[in-house]
Amino acid sequence: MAILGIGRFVVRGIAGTVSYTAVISTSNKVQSLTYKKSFGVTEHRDGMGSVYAVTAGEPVEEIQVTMTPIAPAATATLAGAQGTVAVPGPLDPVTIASMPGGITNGAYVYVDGDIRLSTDGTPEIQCTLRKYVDTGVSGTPANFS
Amino acid sequence: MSDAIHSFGLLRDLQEELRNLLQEDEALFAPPRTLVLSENLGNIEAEVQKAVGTLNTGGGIVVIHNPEVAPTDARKPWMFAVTILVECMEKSIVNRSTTGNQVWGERLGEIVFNLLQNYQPTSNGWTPLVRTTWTTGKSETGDLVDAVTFSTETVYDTTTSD
Repeated sequence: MAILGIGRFVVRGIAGTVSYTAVISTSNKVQSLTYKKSFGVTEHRDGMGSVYAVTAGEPVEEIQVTMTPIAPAATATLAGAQGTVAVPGPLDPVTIASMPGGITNGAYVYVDGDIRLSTDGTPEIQCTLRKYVDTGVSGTPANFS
Repeated sequence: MSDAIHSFGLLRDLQEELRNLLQEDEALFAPPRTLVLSENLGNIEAEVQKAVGTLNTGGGIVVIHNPEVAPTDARKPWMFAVTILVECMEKSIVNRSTTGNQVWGERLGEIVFNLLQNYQPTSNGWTPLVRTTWTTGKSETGDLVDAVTFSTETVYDTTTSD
């Protein structure tokens, strides 16, 4: 019997894509992404203060994504690259695709973000996206802005 | 005698997979043919000389060096990282002759980069290759060389065989 060294697969890098109206999936490179699924937890206690039940509120999924916008293949010009330096409008739908299993795709909306320009580097766009339960987002929801 | 000692293993499997990938690519395999060699420590110079002397490489040779194991990150001791140097040589005295393939070393470097950057090896869970360095210059023997280094890593584990 012999002991052999083997390698096992692990996810490295970000193969998935992010897209919205101004920035299609091929006109950005995702640098980092943080996914969070949070919900309120309520502890129900009896008269002695002991927890006898715990209930969870509805979950909210949130993604913080940082990306570098680039010119789309169809408009391989500097002007094309400049056109992608933009964040979505309030509650605009943002499509997340091909991310690893636990990060589900679809129905995210834009809630916050910024654009960073610098003298010594390429632009960075950071977006905060949320997905709420059963909002049934299709198209642009009312944002009252 | 154990078969295990004669099997390729983690490192040599990776090296051979990359060699096959490059050798089978149309840009390198089709005429004018570029020879793709795997380094077998101790005899690479002899192999290059033999290739130039007897095979019709047209003056272009790509050498996949043995993967070099990178230092362990103490925070993730289960990771096993390597760097792989790929030398794209132009024997310019042959390459730029009338019978040479007229393919410059830097163009070979580009072809290798295009093929290997983000390539996901199929064996042993190696992560997609990422280029770490790319230098251009002359080798000790006076050949023009574009030396491109890639890195990859996997989660090290063991298994047993009979």
